[in-house]
Amino acid sequence: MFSSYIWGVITVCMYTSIIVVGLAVFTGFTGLVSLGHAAFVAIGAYTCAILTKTFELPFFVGVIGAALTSGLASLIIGYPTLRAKLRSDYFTITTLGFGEAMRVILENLEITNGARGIGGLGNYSHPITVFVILVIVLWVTKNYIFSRYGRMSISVREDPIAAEMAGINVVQVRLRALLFSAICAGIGGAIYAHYIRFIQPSMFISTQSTLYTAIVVAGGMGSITGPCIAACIFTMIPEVLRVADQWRMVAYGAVLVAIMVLRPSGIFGYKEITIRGMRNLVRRLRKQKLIGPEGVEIDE
Amino acid sequence: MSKDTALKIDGLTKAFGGIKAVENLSFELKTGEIMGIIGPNGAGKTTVFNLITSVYQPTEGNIYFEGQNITGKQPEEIVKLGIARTFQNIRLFKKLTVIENVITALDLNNPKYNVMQALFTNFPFVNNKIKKSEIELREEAKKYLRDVGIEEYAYKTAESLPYGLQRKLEIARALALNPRLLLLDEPAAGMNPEETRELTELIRTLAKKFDLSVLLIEHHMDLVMNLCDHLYVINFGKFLAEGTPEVIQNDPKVLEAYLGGEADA
Ligand SMILES: Nc1ncnc2c1ncn2[C@@H]1O[C@H](COP(=O)(O)OP(=O)(O)OP(=O)(O)O)[C@@H](O)[C@H]1O
Ligand SMILES: [Mg+2]
Repeated sequence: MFSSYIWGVITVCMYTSIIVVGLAVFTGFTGLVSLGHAAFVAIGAYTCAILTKTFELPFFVGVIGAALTSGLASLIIGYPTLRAKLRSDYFTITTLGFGEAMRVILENLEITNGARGIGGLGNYSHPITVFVILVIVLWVTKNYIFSRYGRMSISVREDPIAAEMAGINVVQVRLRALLFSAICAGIGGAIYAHYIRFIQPSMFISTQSTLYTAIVVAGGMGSITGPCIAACIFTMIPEVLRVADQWRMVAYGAVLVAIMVLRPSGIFGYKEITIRGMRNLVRRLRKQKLIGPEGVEIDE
Repeated sequence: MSKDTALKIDGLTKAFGGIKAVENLSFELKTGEIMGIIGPNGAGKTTVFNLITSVYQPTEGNIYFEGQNITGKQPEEIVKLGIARTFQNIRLFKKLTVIENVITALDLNNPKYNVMQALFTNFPFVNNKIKKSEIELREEAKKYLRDVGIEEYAYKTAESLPYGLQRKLEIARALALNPRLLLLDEPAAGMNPEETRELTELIRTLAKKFDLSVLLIEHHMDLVMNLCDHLYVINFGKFLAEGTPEVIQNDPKVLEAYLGGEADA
């Protein structure tokens, strides 16, 4: 039906969504900024690549391994830095360093094959597989947000001191959100590795981290569907504007500025696309005679 | 020290750099009593609250709650022991609804599910623990909103409430933590005399209904004089006077501190 090019773009949109949905829980819902999430993506990508290529394990084992190693790494850097409760900027700075350190580590390890990277990876990231994983991730994320754990996250974002005084362990809430986002990043990285089928350290640099955070902010701080839509937009910009590579960043910048000016709280703000929301929208449009009448009275 | 002392402060000092915001304060709050801390602006009243709730650690001195030394405990531990507070500069979860603000405090003591259940068992269109718990919490939270008289705003965002009602929501959220000691930092700030009178009655009613000991900071003298069993006056971080409202009202030192404070302003 579609050309493989289109399927490719769709796949990129989907794994980027997986990564930014996790980051949305961390940044959008818990209020912390990370400038090193590409490092978690890298850990996932390399773990999965090594498990499937070097150890010849099945793809799903690689994905689980990716989730575990990224998660573990997040606890190792999150535990000491997130304990400074009122200074979440310490964490942000640490993530920046962590991102750089991860690149250097990957360039120097033998198992990661240094700067040359790992090639010849299996073509496992079929759009259907990725779609199934995306749906599971979205479902779990929604469950996270609409539970007491999501509510605790939002309260920490809104006011960490008041959250403490509501008996909430701020450090634990932040660490949990970081763990969740790192696991999503790891899974996204695993999919990425087996989509692109060749990985090297320079693919996971800080501009990539910044882009993920920009997508979350642009999509809406406090939305899951918003960042997904933004992920698609930001994936498609360079595809649509295939003029010249260096103009890509300009286009990103322009889109970001436009979003910040037109919708300061992100494309979707704190809202979600839901089935009920769609129904209400259709009803509103109908009332304004923008959509033809159905022959039935429109109830309030 | 026994169960009839709710709170005991002993030689409390807090220095910020060179400035001693609070210096060698000691007092006791009897169980079931309503006690007021008064003093001019910048006297160190809010700092006392921040020390009790461990937002800051004291430079010197100890804090006892129902006989237990709570100095140096984590804020959330102190809350779990039974101390709740409100803030002078209102601190609500602004983007959450009014009822969610209360639920956040409410589901702390008795969670009905764990993380794994929350993430992996909440299927759409199927009834489960999580959905059931949410419904129960909402019913429970409504009771607290009713108690402070803001039930009709349950589904508005906290930031959309008028100022006076935001203060009431803070009280409702504090009550939802099921405390035995309630700390109120200027609950009547920004209220007119009529609203202040209403709030005075509300605090009295709530203290009785929930069996609370109350420690409050307030500049509205009619509220303080009407409501408090006992007053503790501080000035420039130091103890100035202590006693019943009648005694304090006629204490020349207190009058001077306040008049001096006014003249400075
Ligand atoms: N975190 C801080 N760092 C430095 N100084 C502080 C800090 N918190 C309070 N202070 C200082 O401590 C003193 C007491 O402040 P505090 O807020 O306790 O006064 P207050 O009695 O509550 O005054 P008000 O009636 O205006 O609320 C002030 O001089 C204030 O500037
Ligand atoms: Mg104060």
